[in-house]
Amino acid sequence: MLVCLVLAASALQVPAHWEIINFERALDASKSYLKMRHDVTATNIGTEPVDEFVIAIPKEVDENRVIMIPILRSPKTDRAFLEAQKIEVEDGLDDVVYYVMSLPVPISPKSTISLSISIIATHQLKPVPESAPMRDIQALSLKTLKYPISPYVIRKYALALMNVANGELKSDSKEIEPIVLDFHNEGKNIISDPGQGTIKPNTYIPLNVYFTSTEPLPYVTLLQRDYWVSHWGNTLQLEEYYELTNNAVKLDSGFNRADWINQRLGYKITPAMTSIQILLPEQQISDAYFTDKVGNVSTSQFVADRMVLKPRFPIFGGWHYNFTVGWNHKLSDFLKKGPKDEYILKVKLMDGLHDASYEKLNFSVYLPEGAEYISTFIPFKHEGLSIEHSYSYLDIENGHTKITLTFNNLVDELKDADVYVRYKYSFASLIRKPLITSLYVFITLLTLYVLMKVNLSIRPARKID
Amino acid sequence: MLYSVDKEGYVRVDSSLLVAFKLLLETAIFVSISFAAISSRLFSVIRFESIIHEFDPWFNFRATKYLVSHSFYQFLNWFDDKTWYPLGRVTGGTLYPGLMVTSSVLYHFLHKIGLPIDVRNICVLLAPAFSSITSLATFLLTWEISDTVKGLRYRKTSAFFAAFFMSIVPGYISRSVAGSYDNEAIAITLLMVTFYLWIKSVRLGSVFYASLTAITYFYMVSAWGGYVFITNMIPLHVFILLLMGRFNYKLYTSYCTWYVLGTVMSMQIPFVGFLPIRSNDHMSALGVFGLLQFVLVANYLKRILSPEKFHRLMIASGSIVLTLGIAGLVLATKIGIIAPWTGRFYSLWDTSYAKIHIPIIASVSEHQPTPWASFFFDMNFLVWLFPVGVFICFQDLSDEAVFIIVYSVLASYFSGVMIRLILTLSPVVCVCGGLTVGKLCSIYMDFKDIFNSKAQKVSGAIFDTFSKLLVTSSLIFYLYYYVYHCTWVTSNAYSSPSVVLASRNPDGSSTIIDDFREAYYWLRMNTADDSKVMAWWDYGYQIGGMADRTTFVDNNTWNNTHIATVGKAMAVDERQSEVIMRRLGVDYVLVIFGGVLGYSGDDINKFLWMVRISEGIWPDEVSERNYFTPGGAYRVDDLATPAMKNSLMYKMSYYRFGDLFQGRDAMDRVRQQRLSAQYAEHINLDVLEEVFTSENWIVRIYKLKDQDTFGRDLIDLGEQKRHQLGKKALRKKTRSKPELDIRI
Repeated sequence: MLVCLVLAASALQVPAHWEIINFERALDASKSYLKMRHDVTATNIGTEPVDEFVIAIPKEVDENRVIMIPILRSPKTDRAFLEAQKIEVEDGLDDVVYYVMSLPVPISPKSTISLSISIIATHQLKPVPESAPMRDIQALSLKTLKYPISPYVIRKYALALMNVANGELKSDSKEIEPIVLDFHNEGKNIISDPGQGTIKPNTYIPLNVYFTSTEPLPYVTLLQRDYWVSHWGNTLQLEEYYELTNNAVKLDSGFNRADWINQRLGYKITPAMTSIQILLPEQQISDAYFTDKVGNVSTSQFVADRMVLKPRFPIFGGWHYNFTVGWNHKLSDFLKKGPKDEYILKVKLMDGLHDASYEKLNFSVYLPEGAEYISTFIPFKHEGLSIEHSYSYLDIENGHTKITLTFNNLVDELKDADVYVRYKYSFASLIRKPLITSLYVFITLLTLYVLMKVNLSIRPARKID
Repeated sequence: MLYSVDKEGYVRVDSSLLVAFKLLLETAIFVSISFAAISSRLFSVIRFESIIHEFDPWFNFRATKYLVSHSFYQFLNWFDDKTWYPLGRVTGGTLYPGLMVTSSVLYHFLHKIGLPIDVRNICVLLAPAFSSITSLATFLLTWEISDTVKGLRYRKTSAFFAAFFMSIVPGYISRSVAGSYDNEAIAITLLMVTFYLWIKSVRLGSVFYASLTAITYFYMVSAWGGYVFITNMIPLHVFILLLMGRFNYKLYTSYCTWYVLGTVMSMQIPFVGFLPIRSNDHMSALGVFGLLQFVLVANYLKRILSPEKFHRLMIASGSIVLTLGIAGLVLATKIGIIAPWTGRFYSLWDTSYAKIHIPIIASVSEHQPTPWASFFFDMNFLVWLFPVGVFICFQDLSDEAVFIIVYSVLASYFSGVMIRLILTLSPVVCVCGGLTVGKLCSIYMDFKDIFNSKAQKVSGAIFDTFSKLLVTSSLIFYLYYYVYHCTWVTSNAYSSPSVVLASRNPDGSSTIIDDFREAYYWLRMNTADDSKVMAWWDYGYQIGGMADRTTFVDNNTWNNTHIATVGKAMAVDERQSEVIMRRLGVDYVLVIFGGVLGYSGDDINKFLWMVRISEGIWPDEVSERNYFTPGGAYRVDDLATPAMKNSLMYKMSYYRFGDLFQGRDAMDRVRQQRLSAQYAEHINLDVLEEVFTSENWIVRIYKLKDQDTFGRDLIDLGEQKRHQLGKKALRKKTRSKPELDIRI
């Protein structure tokens, strides 16, 4: 933290220690967000060993960045995952953010390293035009850079755009292109042959990729995910509340049902979402439901490993649909008992949609009343952790212990991450609730009996015959 | 020892054991009756889901949600700006809060004891829960009355039968299935409890019971407008008893206590306010109150004066009081101190009154006169047990029996006038039915003689036994049939939420048509929060409850002019309608159209009511006659009248309807009329834009287009566009002709 502040305060110049001898860039637009992978091979051209490497990414990507994983491929060390820290660069560009990574070992001059950086960013795909007639094929635009941005000189470069059907590249920049890239289409992909030449540091040439896509762009503005732990019922209940929006192309006029029916658009894959597919966990589930704010939606079915929900109406671009799904698990599939009444609950961060970006995720675990929270473990960064108490059925004292983790900006690819919750729940607290409940019932009945014996009549008592 | 065997070989059982066994049996019967009452009302929950039904319950539900999240005083002062736009509604002061308060108290109580059930489930299950209390109250009422009926040996049997009839009688179930969260859901319970307590207080002359009657009466007043029924029933009962010369101090005590307490308490409800002393509906109660005082004085004078003097005094004072009373009433009504009779009241006496003078009342289907068949439908074999029960009451004519007779006569009349009032008839029918069956049981189900070896065998015993068996078996058959019928009616007629429609696929499997919620949810999700939705008043509460959007008119039909304005906007042509809609501030218009699916409750079928209601206000601009063909037919196809074809409602319903048939003639499946393809294609809309149509076309939502930026008329623009298009299409046609020839 301190280092970060110091670095941020004093903008520095990136020393030209490195020269990138090969830069391979792959962008994948198969989903509603953008996946990027940069494979970089660089040589130390300085005279001293260096243990830092600076990478640059466009600001727009950085702001919508879900995750960035830099990996050191060679030389092989025991610490392949690198940590990146944001820095201010004196002669850097305004639209670019720089990160410095410290390498596990200093690299001697003339030695080569090979890195790969994977980035996932949301909000990179936009429909053009924003609204179109229902039957038109959706066109998406992807704004990116034609050449990689780097504080170092690049000698060789190749670009691959994956899953951009009928793709078209447009670059309006007046700058002279440093190397000639020869693009050719391979199915849905556009791939350039590696180009030799010199790309100067901080070359910034925007590139617009236009392509067609029939898929919707699902975007979840809020996902509220609640796990309820019940030791008595041996159940783990899950309830998820989604606020879903489709970011795909909007309708240019009102929704015309006659066209929709006549062209059988409901049976085709269009940018309108006609079904929501929820991937189910492999553990056994039961009592699944699908509701929204006006009641049960009767159109859900199970197909193999997923639950297919049919929303009440096709969700066109710009339309919203809020809904709730839930089901029960067997608690024993998720719970490990530790020593001294300790339990470890292992659940998945998300089940969720097959393809979606999430703006905000509130992940809650409701432990039984009387359980004592010890700790949680999540593989990546969260925005906040809060421990509250929440009343529910037959809660007598404090209510269920509720642990809430909040996350911002996620995508479905992260759903396999596991969340571990450690807590203490003694046999005494387990037995407490039924005992107290039955005590209350007993007291009520006793009071009722006593009350029935009370004679409130103001008439003088009759003599017993 | 609980039992012993005596010398003669009989088993003697200890009486305490018998008492305990009896208690157990009675409890078991009550539990089964409650179970039957509740479970038969759960059809809709099982078949569909836990959902609020129909129209009014959606408002009650919304109000309950408001009450649960706000304080009681905030609720009473609630000004709802989401309805009756732009007027708004002083909701807190114009509703009966009893139902909402009941649910909210239950909600908070359940939360306190650790059962945080959500508001919706409480609302849905309130009516079934109260129905089990109703059958208990019916039991008590019958038990009280059976006491005075001669020759009724098994009082409890008849009381149990009455309770059992009450628990599943369709006439009551129709208003109390799960999800039917309406005032009547708790009002019938309160009605029965009030009547029971009233009978009890008349019998005992107890201030305690009379006060309890007043309290339940107050609860009833807070819950349902039908409390006027009690307000008139009790005075009428007293009045008839007076006429029969049955005045006594018990009657005096209980009536005066009830009237004074009940009236003062009922005036605490904001919506009722000063009605009990100002409205004509309540004058009979006041009159009987005065009469009782008069009779009391007369009773006193009778004792101290000579009969001759008393007679003269009576005639003189009687005529003076009568003239003064009537003159005062007429004068007060004329000046306006007492509110005149309302239209609803007149329509109770003259069934065609509403149709002529107040179409808005007549337009409600439940205000129609009752067809005979529905009596059988709603009561089954009780229909003929009922007169027998009343006859049994006549045989004895005790004070309580008179009450039942009065109740039967009044309720029978009113239920004949208005179909919804079968609801008030059902309880007395069950009571009388219970009495009858009880009587039958005491005569024909007594088989003691057969087992009694000591009794002498008289000649004809065989026939006696035979007739007993015959009656018993037919009674059992009818009882069985009653249960069967009630279950069938409940399951088939009264368990549809009407928000969700059940249907069948071509292959016979059942499916659910959920167009209403589809469209309402679309509105909720995809329109601005402050959008104003115009729809016919039937859907006002549903839009408010499910779509959560501002409405112009709703099911609380307090402002006839506003409803007529909306009706007019639907009935006139686009140009006039645009003016009205812009003035009202409409964003969206919602229509119900059943032509695709064959859903007959759609707006085109209700359209004539819109026309009639707006004609009532603007007779010069809207005329019902113009919507009928010269032959008097109501047509929607090519032969529809110009007024019909141009009306906004018609255009909204059939806009793009022809496209669905892809060149074939469009078929309206509700009215069984065929719109030619060419004609259907030319139904156009210029001021509205279709924004949503539900899956089966039941709900269609239009958006009022923004005014043209250059101030051009939207309709003219549309005309021009069509003109150009027409030319183009013509050119296309002529050009494509040679190609066709070649192909041929």
